[in-house]
Amino acid sequence: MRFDLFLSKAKEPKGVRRVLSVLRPTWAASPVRRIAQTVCLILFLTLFFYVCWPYGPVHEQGSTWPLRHAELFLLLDPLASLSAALAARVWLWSLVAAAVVLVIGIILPRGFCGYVCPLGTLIDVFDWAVGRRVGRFRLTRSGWWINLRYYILAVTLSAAACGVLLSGFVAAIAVVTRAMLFIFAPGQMGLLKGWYLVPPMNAGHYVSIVLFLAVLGLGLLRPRFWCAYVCPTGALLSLGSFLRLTERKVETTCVECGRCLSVCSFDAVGPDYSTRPLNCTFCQTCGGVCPSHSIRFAGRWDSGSLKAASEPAGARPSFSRRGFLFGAVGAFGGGAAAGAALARERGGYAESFPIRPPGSVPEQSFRRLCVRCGECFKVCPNNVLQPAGFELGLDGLWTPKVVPDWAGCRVSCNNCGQVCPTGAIRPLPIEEKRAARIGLAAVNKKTCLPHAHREDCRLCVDECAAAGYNAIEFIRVGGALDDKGVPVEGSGYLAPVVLEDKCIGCGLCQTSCYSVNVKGKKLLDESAIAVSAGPGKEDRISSGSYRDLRAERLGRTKQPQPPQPSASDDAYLPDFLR
Amino acid sequence: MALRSLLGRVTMMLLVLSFFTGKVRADNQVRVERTRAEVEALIKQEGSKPPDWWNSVELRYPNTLDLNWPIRLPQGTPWEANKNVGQYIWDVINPNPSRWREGVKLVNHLMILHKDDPAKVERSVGTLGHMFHDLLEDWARAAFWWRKNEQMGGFVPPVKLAHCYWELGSKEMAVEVLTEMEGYYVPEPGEIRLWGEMGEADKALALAESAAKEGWTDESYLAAADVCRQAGRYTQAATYYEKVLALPDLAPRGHGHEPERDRPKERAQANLQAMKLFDALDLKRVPDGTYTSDSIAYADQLYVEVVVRAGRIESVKVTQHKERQFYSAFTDTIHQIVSKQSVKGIDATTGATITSEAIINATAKALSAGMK
Repeated sequence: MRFDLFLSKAKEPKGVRRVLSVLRPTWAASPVRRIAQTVCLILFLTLFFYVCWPYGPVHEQGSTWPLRHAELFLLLDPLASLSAALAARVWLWSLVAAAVVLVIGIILPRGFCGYVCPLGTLIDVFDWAVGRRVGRFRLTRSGWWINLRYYILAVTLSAAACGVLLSGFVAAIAVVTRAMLFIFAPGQMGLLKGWYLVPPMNAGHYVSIVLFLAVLGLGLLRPRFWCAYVCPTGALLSLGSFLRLTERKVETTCVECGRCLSVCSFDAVGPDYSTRPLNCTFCQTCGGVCPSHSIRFAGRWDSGSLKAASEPAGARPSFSRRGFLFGAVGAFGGGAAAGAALARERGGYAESFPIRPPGSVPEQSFRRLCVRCGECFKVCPNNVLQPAGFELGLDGLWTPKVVPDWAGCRVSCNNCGQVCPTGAIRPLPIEEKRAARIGLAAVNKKTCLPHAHREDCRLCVDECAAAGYNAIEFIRVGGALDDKGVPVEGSGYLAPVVLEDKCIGCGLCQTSCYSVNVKGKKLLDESAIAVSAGPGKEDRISSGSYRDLRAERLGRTKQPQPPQPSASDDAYLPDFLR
Repeated sequence: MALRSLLGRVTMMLLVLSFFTGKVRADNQVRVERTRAEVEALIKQEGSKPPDWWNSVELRYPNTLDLNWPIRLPQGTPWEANKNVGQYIWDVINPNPSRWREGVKLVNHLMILHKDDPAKVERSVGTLGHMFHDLLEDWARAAFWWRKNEQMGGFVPPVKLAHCYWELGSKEMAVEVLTEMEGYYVPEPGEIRLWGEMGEADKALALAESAAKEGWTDESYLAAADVCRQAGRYTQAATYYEKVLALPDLAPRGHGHEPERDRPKERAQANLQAMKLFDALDLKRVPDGTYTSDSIAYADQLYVEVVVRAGRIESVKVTQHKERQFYSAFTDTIHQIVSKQSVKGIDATTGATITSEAIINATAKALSAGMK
């Protein structure tokens, strides 16, 4: 049984090969792979820039291409799902997608890396554009790094077991999604909607961008250095390759020309031209460049006229099994220690309560589920959601928080929950979202213009009424009385009061106060109405209805009223007045 | 793509058309006329049955509220809106349209609670009249409760009762009430405007002059000018505004903590300036675009945004204001401007003259500034 996808050098049609070789030799050698990569990259970019564009036609038409498709690639990243599920100790449906990828990996070992992963494709593009022109950093030998990805995987998984999610730093799709978000999405916003809508960057942005540039920069050492040695998602798929049903075979006809060795970017060809099956991504480029048709891709136990037996899995002459074992154990231990340290650090920030997106699960689970991919920031109209920097601790880095000074949560939007791949933000129907409290607004009576008897202002009240929450109403303050003690019509100020049973903390009030009174008129130093989160102010539930929760809460806080006259007509016009 | 945009445009036009045809009622042009007997029957019939929202609104008030609602609070009682019913209505119910209905239910509840205390019943009945008129604009029920109040010997504001009759369709009854009160009081601005609204501009102006003689010059002349504007007598309106401007500066009237401003003069000035623009205004000379301007309203400046396309006023939007009530002027006046494609001949919305005028003035200013 053969699984050859490459375009053999000898076989007809030669014309196709010649046409393709105009693109690059690798296109000619294995066009299926390059086409798959291109399609996947375009799909990824379309999902990210078009489907996730909160002002685009998708959102006006509603159902043509639902937003939840945007999380496709994140679902396919098996490490993201696995580590999140492990950290939060919950079942995630995205594990099914991860399992599918791993099962496909049995037939197409590490096919995800070779054919699908948009980060890998971008690294290929980087190599084409930059890497191959800069020779001075190129590595000529192997070293301690060859098993690094397993150690990183071990650290990530053991930290996850300790309840700390590190996959946001290293999982392939999370890294590339966030890079798109921080590097290119501001440009999209600026060019299409206006640069004033681009929120300022914080430390979190810079760390993420540097991380992505480092990933690309590794490509100067070797093409796909990241994928071959560092990427823990790749390591997970490598482990899956233990169960592979197919592999690369080299036949006795091999003339030892060395072309396969030089064309392989995954360090999957040994010095004797044999295969390192845990590295091989089945890209089959080597098959396409082989002049003697000695390479084939076939069933694992299909032993025809083979040149030499494949190297034992994962082993290298210079790296013993014992060394690997020590490394792995050390990594597990290190991960556990890092997890414990971060968990302790998290305790230090327990008193600060970031405002989380509507539908966020309880904070501890939230931090364990959020893979910091940044998809929610992308789909959020007006960037209400922004990534935390280090103000919530290292463990809170890149997690989404509501920044109400910048913008308020739109009434008709539930995008963030739709795209969250791990359910850290629950996908809520719009009616549920409108009942989910993310915080509570409070008026600062010392600074609020009417409360402070400075001038009339009704921004927050109008904003809240326009949004349909009607959670802020007026009270008359500072009214004057005439000699008889009767209030003077038109005297005093109408000042805002927040109705706690109606406010859901969307922050629209704060946005308008901040933009007009603070930034525009410079009357205040900070918004006089501010949303804050914390126990009792927000609804953080992992399951169940926010509307039910609200009904229950209202029932509980309802004031006991004296017995009412029956709600019949005579209550309006009683008999004694008829 | 082209088809979709065409379809979108047609839908849009249909929407706009339905908007224009469906809301003719908003301006007073199609006022329903009723005979005295019909109005009497309407008041009796509507007034004695609860409004349709009655059962859907809950009776709600703070636990701290003193339901005794004494007729007179002892001297030196501190102002506590959550304790004293009158202050609660003033501070919490009146400023919030969302609470108006529950306010009516509260007063109705207190009326029944104190049914053995005639003074308290009379006060509740009168308060209901005020709430139905001032807040809910439910003219039949306002008239109904005020008449009950009158039977009990309470005081009913005649101008407001006359206004109810006028709104219900009987000019005859309104005139009767207004004529009856004549001579007892100095004519108030509301009375002057009501006469004007009923088409009796000369009568209104005569009353304004007599009020001016009694010393209420500024407000009366402003009302007179409004009456003239509504009657299309722009030159005469201008002379009244100029009269206001020629008055000596206003003595402080002690409006609480409001910064002292000579509002009548500011308003006269703003109206005069805007009116000068009216005649020169030529929509065809205004290029497509969005124009903004402001004018003084009741509380402070009111800002509008006017969109002009192909020589037509496409929309007017109030972008910023500090008016204290959700006056119908916002929808009514704007609707009139857009449907008449003019800032002239717009009827001021009853009870919201000042806001209405501010919208007209600001729109005129915005368009004039945009003229090429």
